[in-house]
Amino acid sequence: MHVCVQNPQSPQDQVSQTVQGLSENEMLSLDIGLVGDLDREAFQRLYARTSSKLFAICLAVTRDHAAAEDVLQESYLKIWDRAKGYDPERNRPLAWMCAIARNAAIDWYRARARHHHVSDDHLNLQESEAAAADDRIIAMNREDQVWTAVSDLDAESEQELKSIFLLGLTYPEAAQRLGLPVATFKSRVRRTVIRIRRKLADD
Amino acid sequence: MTDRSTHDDLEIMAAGLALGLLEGMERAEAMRRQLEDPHFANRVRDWQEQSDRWLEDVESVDAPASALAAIEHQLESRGANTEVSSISNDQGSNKIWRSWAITATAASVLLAVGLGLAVTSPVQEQTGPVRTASEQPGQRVNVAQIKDEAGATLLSALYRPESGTLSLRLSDLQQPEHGPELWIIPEDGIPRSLGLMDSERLTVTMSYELRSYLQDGATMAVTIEPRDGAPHDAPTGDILGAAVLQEVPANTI
Repeated sequence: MHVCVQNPQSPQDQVSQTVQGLSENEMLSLDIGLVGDLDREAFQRLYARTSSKLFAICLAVTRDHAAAEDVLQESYLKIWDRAKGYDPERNRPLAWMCAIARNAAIDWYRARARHHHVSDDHLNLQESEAAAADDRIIAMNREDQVWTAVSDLDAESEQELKSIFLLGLTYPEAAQRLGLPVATFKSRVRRTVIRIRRKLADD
Repeated sequence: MTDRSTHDDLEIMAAGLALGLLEGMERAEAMRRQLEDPHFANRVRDWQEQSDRWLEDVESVDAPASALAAIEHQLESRGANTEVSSISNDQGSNKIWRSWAITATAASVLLAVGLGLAVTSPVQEQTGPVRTASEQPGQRVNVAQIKDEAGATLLSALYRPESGTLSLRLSDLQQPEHGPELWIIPEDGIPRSLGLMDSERLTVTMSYELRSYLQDGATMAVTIEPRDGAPHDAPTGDILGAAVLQEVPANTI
């Protein structure tokens, strides 16, 4: 899991000695801190531990393998740049990294939508984007492997809410993409939110 | 019955804000409540943590084998090891700030440490409570919210042009010798300091000069600056994040 160190006096060796007994989150936090100090080996460890998770997020949002790889690369460059500002007291390390990947993927999607419809008027842009996003939501709901966690919470509506969050859609955007009146969609979200909240309170 | 309904309504609003579902007036109202109601702010934070777990629980998919090499190649080719900008006082820095102003609706960057509260000039701390009573018809207010990479709020701002008061709620960003400095960036792209903030909650009365910059569409930004010499003429520290001031009717919030 951790690096084999040849120089016992190196900072990496000190890290290697201290990671024994640390949780995964603690190791990730430690490596992010080292990346903040421009430690390339820590960056490689961080990548090894997290890239499959971040790539899944990039792929889920873009629905395009090549684009997901581009977004993944961009995400890790941002992680490299921003690691010095990471505060483990405010964010869990994996959640912090996942959020960077999600935001980068959403930015990619929106930029692509603008680029592909540069000559269209605003309305057409929305319709085209809506159709594409709707396809993505449907595809995501079909692909259980993308969202299998928390499966004990009854699936469909919660899955839908997760998908909409992942894609960064607002109420009106999501309703349009699902072909529902906004009020109907809001009612659906309301039921889902309350159910999740009550379940969490019961746990 | 009413209590249950109200409780659920606030839960839905908190979830909507945390998950990014809200826009326009709904978002402004939720931000206003987050600014002024600690209990509601805690609910928003709970939903942000919930959405963090959703991201963490996504089932893994192996990344392409070539990806790491490509990333490292880009790091090599960039030469410089960090993109975090050190902003000088010269005119060139305005380009960076204009860039931030353009992209400020996206959230911001993660950050560091912290605690306390105090605003130095040019703003003057107001001792009275934040005004929450309904406004006169036709009055407008401005809201802005700066978020970190994980979606957590770094700073929420509610500006009331009628009284020139700016209410702020700030995350812990304090460091021993540095603190968060708030900037307003109008159309000319030149940042003007609103002062160094040493408190998590405060309401300040703006000078008349600064009020002229606090217009709809102006960008607010936060940097970490040395405590000595604040307020500064220009930012020198890392840009933690930025957001655009949005004007909304006061009677809707």
